Amino acid sequence: MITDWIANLITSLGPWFTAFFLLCIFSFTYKENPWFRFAEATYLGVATAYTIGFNLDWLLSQWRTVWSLTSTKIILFSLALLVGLLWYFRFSKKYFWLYRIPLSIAVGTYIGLSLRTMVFAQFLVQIRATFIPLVAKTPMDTLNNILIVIMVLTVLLYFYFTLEHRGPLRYTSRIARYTMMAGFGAAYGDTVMTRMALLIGQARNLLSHPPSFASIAIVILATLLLSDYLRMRREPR
Amino acid sequence: MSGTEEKAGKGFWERLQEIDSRIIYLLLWIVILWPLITPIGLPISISTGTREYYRIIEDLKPGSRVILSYDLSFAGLPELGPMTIATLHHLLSKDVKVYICAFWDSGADIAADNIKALDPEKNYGKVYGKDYIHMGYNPMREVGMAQFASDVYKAFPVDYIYKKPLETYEIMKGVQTAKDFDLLISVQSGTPGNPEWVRQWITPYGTKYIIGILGVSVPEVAPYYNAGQVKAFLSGLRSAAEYELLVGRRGAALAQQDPLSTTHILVILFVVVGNIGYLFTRGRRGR
Repeated sequence: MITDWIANLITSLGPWFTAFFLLCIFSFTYKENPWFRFAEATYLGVATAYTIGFNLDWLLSQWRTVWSLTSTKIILFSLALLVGLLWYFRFSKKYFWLYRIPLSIAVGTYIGLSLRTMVFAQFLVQIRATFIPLVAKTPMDTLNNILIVIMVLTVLLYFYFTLEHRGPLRYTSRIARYTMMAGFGAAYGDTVMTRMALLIGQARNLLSHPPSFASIAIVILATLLLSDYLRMRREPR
Repeated sequence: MSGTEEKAGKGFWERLQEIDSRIIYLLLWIVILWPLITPIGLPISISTGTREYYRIIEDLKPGSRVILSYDLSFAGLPELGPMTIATLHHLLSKDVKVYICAFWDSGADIAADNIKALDPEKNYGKVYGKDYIHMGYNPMREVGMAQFASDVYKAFPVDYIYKKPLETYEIMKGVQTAKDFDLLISVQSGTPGNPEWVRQWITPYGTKYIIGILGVSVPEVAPYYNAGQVKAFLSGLRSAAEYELLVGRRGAALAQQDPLSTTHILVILFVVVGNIGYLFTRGRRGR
């Protein structure tokens, strides 16, 4: 009964919490202020708790369904847990070396697993993809293919530092620079789209519940303007 | 020279380059809120990439097994949320088996929310455990993906909704490794994401693979697409809107296209004005 009431209350307060924390964070665009710092600290706390809780839940479900079934599995699970707990010796100066055991296991496993296919997935297949016919079916494809070949070769040569970039290498490095600048420009455009999309999504969130948006925005903005006004009055010109 | 005198001595372009960032933010807010409150309805054309993504799902044979991995965070939700829900809607509309999973903790909750919002039992006539399943979250990142590829039940021992052993569900019959799946879809906002899937699934098993990504990730993904490792990808809110049009489900992405266009026009204006100002002041400094 009480839990239902609390659940309903939290649900109805949801838009207010969303608007409050969003606007606290957005207030940073005016200037650094306590509203922003409060929201930032709250976010960090909640996000950390969420991750820990989620991972503990996963660990418990693993224990219940797989690792508690036989004595061998229990021993293996306990050993893994003990090795995992050695991470915490990172905080001890005396036993810091123990922290290196789980670290080396993690690093070794990740490197081993990724190296297994990395040469093919991110090297050979990528190189093979640049072996393309210079004359394709359509003029546009032909142009694209020629550009890909020229750009790949010149950018690779750009990072060849054994020889000074003079003579013919001067021209190739110039083409490479333009190629990379075009790439950076495209990346910048994509970044703008992502950042704007995130902002628009949040603006839409705010507009879905106008009373919370308007009232909280007024409160935050009023406090910021008031603090600025008081500071200006205190400080001699 | 006092601050006022210094300011008065500056030309129009110098002053424009030193404009208070708060004015820029205010302009940004105006061009976002105005089309959200009164939509303009700017036209949208559908790109080849989005058509490829749509076609790959559309061409799935009846009974195909499709993984939909939610590799995204809450922060990426405004951009990736619309394409994720549109993809799930598209999959549920077809006669395929959907296996939902997550390699990001928040992804598991987002997936559960999407399932609740679409209500597959009521709106698509699909049965949980028979036509679709939420296998849950695996925190082991790339190691987890490798484990998932070699043995599904070790990576996801129980489902996310009812916490029952995965092998007890009808949908899991005949499923053991990556070879048993026809398509892998990952909607992702970072690491673990595309390189990890390519290393652990696409290269060793050759699974057909399409993805949904943030706009900012396009330059990283393009080489994989060019090499044929990624068969198609949706990038950002714009692609999501095109995809919503194709699947016939108007959602959040379409609603946000007007402000997306107006903000881009504003950013282009800023870039143009900034560059003109830079050229003018550079010439003056040179003199």
